[in-house]
Amino acid sequence: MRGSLSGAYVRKSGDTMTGALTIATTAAQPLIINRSDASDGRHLVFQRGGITQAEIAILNAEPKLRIRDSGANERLTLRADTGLLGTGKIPLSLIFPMVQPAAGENAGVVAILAAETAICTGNGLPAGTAVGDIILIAARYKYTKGATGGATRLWIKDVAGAGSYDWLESALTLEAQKTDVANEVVSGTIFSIGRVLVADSAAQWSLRGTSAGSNSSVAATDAQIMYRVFRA
Amino acid sequence: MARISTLRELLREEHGVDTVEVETSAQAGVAASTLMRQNGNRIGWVLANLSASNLYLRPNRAPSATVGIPLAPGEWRSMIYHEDFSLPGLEWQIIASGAAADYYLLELILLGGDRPTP
Repeated sequence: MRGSLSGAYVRKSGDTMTGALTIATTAAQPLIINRSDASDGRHLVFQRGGITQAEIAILNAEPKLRIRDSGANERLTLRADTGLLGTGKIPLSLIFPMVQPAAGENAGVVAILAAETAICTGNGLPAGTAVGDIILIAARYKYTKGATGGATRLWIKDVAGAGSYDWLESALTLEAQKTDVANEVVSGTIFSIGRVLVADSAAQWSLRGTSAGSNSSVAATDAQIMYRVFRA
Repeated sequence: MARISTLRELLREEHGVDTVEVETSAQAGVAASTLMRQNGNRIGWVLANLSASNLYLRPNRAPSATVGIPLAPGEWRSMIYHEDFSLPGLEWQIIASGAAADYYLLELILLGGDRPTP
């Protein structure tokens, strides 16, 4: 007996399926991509063609239910060759949280990979917490000077501290003090601006303009800080 | 030896037979029905599922979704005596997963009577 199979089946290497693929299963790992060769590679590639936006959506419920507790149960897990690099819930800020490796993970991996680079953006940047020291790689800032002007400095906020204004001036001066010009818009980009020791796990950072000798500062707008956090 | 110039002459030369083709275009339903009666002269057939339902075939008895040869929408099956031996000549019954399922059947029947001498 001979016959045909309907539809476009993917049965061998090189086959292309033109329809949508839906995997409906209760399996714990519904899709596994195994690579047995020694070469590096991008194991999952999403090629865009003719469209302007690509999206990988991680949904915690049927979309039609419009449940919006995003980040409550969706997790990203990164694993190195011999251990867990990090895992955590996906925050709305999309800055991947730092997580202490689980007990028993390979110490060597932790030593090598215990840093992550991230970028925070926003108005004033009063966000971001760190469990370890921060190395600032670059920063972009823009703010309007106050009446007295001053140097642009990085400020570290120690939430647990008792500073008069919460914001504690770091030793990093991003821009030398200029002649005071009231309401002058100052902007610039800084690279390799150094290391900040963070003792408090709730520490935050900000780019602010300041008057000399004062931490009553003006938050930068349209600012970015690229930083690396090293676990304590 | 005479020169062979037609397919029919070739069949006579190689197999000593004449055949005739019989077409059927009909519908199967959710109750089993006879697709082809038993015919000792049928040497092969082709069945195409033109419906959006699944079809199931079974020789001599009523098929079901769990017993029989399935044909998904758009699929076809064929039998020929030299691959399937006696199967093409059996009675075949059919059932569909939905009502009024269109199919197309093409049977290949041996012509009876005296066969031409090769």
